[in-house]
Amino acid sequence: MTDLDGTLIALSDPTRRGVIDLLRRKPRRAGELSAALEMSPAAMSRHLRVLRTHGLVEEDHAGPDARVRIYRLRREPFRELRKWLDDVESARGPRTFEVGKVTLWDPPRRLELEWRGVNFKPGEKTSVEVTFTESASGTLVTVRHRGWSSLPEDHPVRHGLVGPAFSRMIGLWWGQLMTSLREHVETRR
Amino acid sequence: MKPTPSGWPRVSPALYYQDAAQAIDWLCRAFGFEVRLKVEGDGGRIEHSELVFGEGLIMVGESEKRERFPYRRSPREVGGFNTQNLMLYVDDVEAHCRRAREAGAKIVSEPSTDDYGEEYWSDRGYECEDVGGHHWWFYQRLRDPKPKA
Repeated sequence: MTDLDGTLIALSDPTRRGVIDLLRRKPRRAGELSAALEMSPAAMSRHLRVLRTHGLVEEDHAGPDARVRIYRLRREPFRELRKWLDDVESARGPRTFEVGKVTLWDPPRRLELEWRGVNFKPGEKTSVEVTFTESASGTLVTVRHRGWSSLPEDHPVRHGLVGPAFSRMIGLWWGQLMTSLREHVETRR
Repeated sequence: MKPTPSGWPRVSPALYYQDAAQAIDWLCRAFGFEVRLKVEGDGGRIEHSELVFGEGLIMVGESEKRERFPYRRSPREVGGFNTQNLMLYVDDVEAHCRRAREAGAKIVSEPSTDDYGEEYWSDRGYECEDVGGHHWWFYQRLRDPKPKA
């Protein structure tokens, strides 16, 4: 069992989470905790043992009366939990990435923006120009993505492809994106 | 049979031309196709395209002499031989033929009516050859078969 397993087991009970909430503000005696959460000292003692076993709280005997046990929170398990949650979030959850600044927005005809991939180094950028023109059955959207030659041949964004093969890959990527946008607009009609 | 992905008919032919970009413009001008998606690569090379005509869909690509698909040729490159015809129904076949002719389509057979009698249907259509040598039939339905009593 990892420390994280223990942390989650210890937290999988509303009473024990109530103890955590109380200890967040200041260390407390066991008696205070059982009174605040309206439960018997014996039951509270069992819960405190679980929290102690898994390292979420620690006993402090340093009070004036050595027989009185003071409980306080330990920070490390929460730091570890936070790190794990951050990893989960950065891998799959919402996160913000700035593709680039909009450099021109001239509605309804023209949009220009900088475009950076997630693997671009600071200072590296390409540019995208989008124009909207009326067509017989709707709007013709034209996307031009320029500036690739300013990036080195072995740039990770190229995925090992050079020249026409790379243009094809990035073109088909845009094609997919434009298709899903078209379908999105069609469902809203 | 499961339904096809949205926007994709059950059958979608891919046609090859020596200059796909020019062919796409021509097919829109001559036959009334519309570009749904066109992906251009280096030098304006067509990497992928989707052209629609009503619920019909074709893809237009470059014939490839040097690359991975040596069998992708336009009829123009192989002595004009076709191994298929494309057939489409239009609303007004006379107007369609006029438009195609003006754009430079070679009319292989002028519009004519096939009437199979009261019990059957009647269509009027023509056949033409496009800018890459592909053959097309365009038909207009004049009369459906009489419904069975």
